Amino acid sequence: MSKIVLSGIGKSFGETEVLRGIDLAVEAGQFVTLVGPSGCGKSTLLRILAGLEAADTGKVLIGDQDVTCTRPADRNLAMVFQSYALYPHLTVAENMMTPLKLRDLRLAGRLPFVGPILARTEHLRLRKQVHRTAETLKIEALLDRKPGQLSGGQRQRAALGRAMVRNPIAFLMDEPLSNLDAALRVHMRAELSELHRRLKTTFVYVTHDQAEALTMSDQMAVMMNGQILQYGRPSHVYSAPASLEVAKFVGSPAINILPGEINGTGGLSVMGKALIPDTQLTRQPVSVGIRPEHLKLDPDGPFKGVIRHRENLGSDVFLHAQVAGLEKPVILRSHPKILAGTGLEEEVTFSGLLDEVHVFGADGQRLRVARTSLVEVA
Amino acid sequence: MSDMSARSSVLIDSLTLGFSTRETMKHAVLILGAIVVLLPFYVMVSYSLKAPAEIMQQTGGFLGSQEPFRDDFCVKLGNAVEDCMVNPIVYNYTTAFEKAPLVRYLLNGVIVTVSIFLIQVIVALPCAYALAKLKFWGREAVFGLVLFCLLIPVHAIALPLYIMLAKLGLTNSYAALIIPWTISVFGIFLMRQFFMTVPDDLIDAARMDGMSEYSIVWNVMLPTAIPALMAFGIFSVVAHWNDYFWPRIVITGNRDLFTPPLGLREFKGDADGDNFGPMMATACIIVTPLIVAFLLAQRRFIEGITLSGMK
Amino acid sequence: MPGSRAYLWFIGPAIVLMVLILLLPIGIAGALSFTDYSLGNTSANFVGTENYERIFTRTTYEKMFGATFRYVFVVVPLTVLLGLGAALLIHSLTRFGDLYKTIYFLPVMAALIAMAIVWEFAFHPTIGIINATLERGCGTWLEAWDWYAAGCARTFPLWLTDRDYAIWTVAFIGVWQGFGFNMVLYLAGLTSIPRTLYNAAEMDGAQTGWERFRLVTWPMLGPTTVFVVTISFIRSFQVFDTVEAFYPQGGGPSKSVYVMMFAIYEKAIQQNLMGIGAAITVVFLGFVMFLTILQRWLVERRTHYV
Repeated sequence: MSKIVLSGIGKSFGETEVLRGIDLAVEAGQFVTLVGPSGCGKSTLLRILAGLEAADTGKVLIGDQDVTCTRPADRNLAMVFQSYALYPHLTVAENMMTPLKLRDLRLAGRLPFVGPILARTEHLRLRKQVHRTAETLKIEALLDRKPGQLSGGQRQRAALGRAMVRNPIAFLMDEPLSNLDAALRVHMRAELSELHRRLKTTFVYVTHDQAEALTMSDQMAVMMNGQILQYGRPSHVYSAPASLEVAKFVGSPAINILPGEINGTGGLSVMGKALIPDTQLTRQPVSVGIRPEHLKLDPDGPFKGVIRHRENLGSDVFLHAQVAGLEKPVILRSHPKILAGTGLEEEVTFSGLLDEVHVFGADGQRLRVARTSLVEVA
Repeated sequence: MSDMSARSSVLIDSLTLGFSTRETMKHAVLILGAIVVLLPFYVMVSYSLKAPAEIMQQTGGFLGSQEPFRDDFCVKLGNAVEDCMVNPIVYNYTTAFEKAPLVRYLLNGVIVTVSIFLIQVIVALPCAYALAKLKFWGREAVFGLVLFCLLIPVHAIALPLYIMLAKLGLTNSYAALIIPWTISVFGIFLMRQFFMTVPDDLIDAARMDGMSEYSIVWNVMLPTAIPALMAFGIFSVVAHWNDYFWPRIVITGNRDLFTPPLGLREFKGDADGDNFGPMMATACIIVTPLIVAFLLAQRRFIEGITLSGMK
Repeated sequence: MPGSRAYLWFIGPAIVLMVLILLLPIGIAGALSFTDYSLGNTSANFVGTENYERIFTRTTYEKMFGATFRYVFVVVPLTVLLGLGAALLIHSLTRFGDLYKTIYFLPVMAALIAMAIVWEFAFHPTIGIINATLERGCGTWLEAWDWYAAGCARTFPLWLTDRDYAIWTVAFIGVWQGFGFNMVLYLAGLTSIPRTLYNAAEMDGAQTGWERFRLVTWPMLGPTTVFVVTISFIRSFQVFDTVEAFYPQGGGPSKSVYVMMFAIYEKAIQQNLMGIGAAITVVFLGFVMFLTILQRWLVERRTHYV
């Protein structure tokens, strides 16, 4: 078990700077997700960690070893690719056998036809290893098929198998679920988490889907424009986003952003309505973020809006309320029963849970609101 | 493997500055190959620029000295020697056009290749459309026939075709040059594969708009198939412009029907020592149109020529 | 459109032409191959399998098969290997790849008959550039090579008229003309190999270029190779232009370059012996169709290749 450390990683493709000095430490055994919109550099970072790409600046450490200039094959990492990258001419078993053969067998043992005879015991051992892995993934039945004969989910498992078969230091996964359909994706999330618990190996997982990051990881790093904006536990990233960008990216439906300001005495008001009397902040314009689940219909609430759209998901209902002065509708989450009476084009008033309000300065950074001063205004 | 190569492979994408030894080796091999490939082109162009004496004695480098020389034929006609001094380039190229009706040959080449291509399209396009998008009894059988006919190289059945044309009295005519190529099974197959990728919705929309099946073929399918047709066109034109075997069989003697390759062959047949220059000039003229077109639109040409590699 | 008969007009012409131009001639060739038909004769005699017996017993035809197979079995492996080699080299270059590609493709575009005539000049024993260049190497270290020393002492070979060299020289021109085509097919095959497969190979521990070639490149080029080999076979079986240009009569020194297409041309067109020409045609078609069917079968077997 080794810790993985990336320090000061920078990378440019021609004129475009893809990574700007990334520092990241992954503790052994953790499930770490790199999440961000496409083009944020997360895949490049993973490929640098894998050794498939060379960083312009910075170092990659695995354990205590500097592997910055080590070939991918010698880093003992395994990777699951978005397209799975299974060798189409080999069966699943042969695909899984490949990394073992290339690592563990001498040249003679790798020869076609005569290889298995020359290095009989090794071949048997490797075959056993493949079978054990296949059992874990429940793909024994597929071992003799070729990738072209498998469904998306089965290919995914075969790719996992090829990565798992040789007990690597860490698994690197580049959007492994993005080629699956929605239902299977949700199912595979649970399976990957379970697999991680069982293997207790480090996972470094790249995705653009914040839901995957929130549901599976121990730690998540939100990346944008070649930088890590926030690194922490998913629950923390969700409940205390470090910046406006992170707040907007994490959570679905997206967080509501309302314009507000801190007045001379430190009071926070949103759209002219005083919310928190004393935040102990200096006078400045701010953006206020409130998640849909932290807004509620409230006849005495400070905000008014007209319901333009209703999304009933069965377990939840999302109301899209048009608020005067705002471009985007404000989204409220509630329970279908509570909202049974509210119809379209109806005017509603609502309020927010004040201890779940996020305040961001003009530069987008999170501002610490003195929680002691919170008194519900309503 | 050594550490060096380990690093170089990791850095393979960023290896753009300077040539490594490996890269230099590759270039050395490729340049050697290029010299062999270009050798006959060099000879062809060079000889078409030089005077006969320079060709025979292998002097003058690539361009020759370009000094005027005495045209013996002109002297024989009784002209003064001073009037018969000619520049080699001018001599070679004018002789190429004067000694044989080269313009006529080139025109024949254009007529034949263009007619072949147009007829191929007129025959193949509707058939491909029917095979790809219409449902009718026996469709599979027709497609099977197409697949079977793909096995037959037309050159291989040249003999019976020649007999048939001879029986019909069609040898030594444009028809003989064109008829065997009017059906391009490959064209049908290719267009059918292409049409399979066109969404049915497009055709259904056209039908809803009240188009007949005929106008669907020519007004809807034809425009969508332009890129594939271009590639096929290049394939077809290159093959038939350069074809020598078939014209050689069906055109005997009538110079008015010679295609460029036949014309060149004829030239060679009665070439004597003095005519190497003009003959190379003729070769240049015949080869140039396709080479220039190829250099101008390389990508399309390579696409077209390698079309047959599509599955 | 249900009930529409439009399709008859669409497929009709194509079917008629396919039958008349492609199928009927095969039948005619088959039928004539059992006769002694000549053009101009009103009737022909049935001669049974005599034509075929001749093809498989007479020395002329033994030479024909010899020349054809010698040509084919030199040209096919060399065009395929050189095509693959050039494609691999060019594909791995960081610059100037397109330039080489263009150059190597030029012979494919140029009319072979024209280039054959040029090669004839180049190979000319006295005024040809090849022997002139070779002579310049005389007196240098190259003479350490016996063959070269012999060439310097007497003369360098009469490439096209010496029966020991003729077929190989013609085959060389075939290779010169054909390998660019295969190179382009291989390049297309190479660019369609997903980059991630190479990444996966790296991760799996394929350290050397050879290992990656064995694990990814070669198997992924499998379908291309099957196609390239077949098309090279079919193209080289059909060699005619060079042979006719060099040896309009008789098929080269001691018939050493008497290839099948030329034999058909000579027997049937020049000598008006349609029966024997038809028999050669049938044998020839047999070869070509067998090869194509073999290729289809091989490709078919790998359809799940995706």
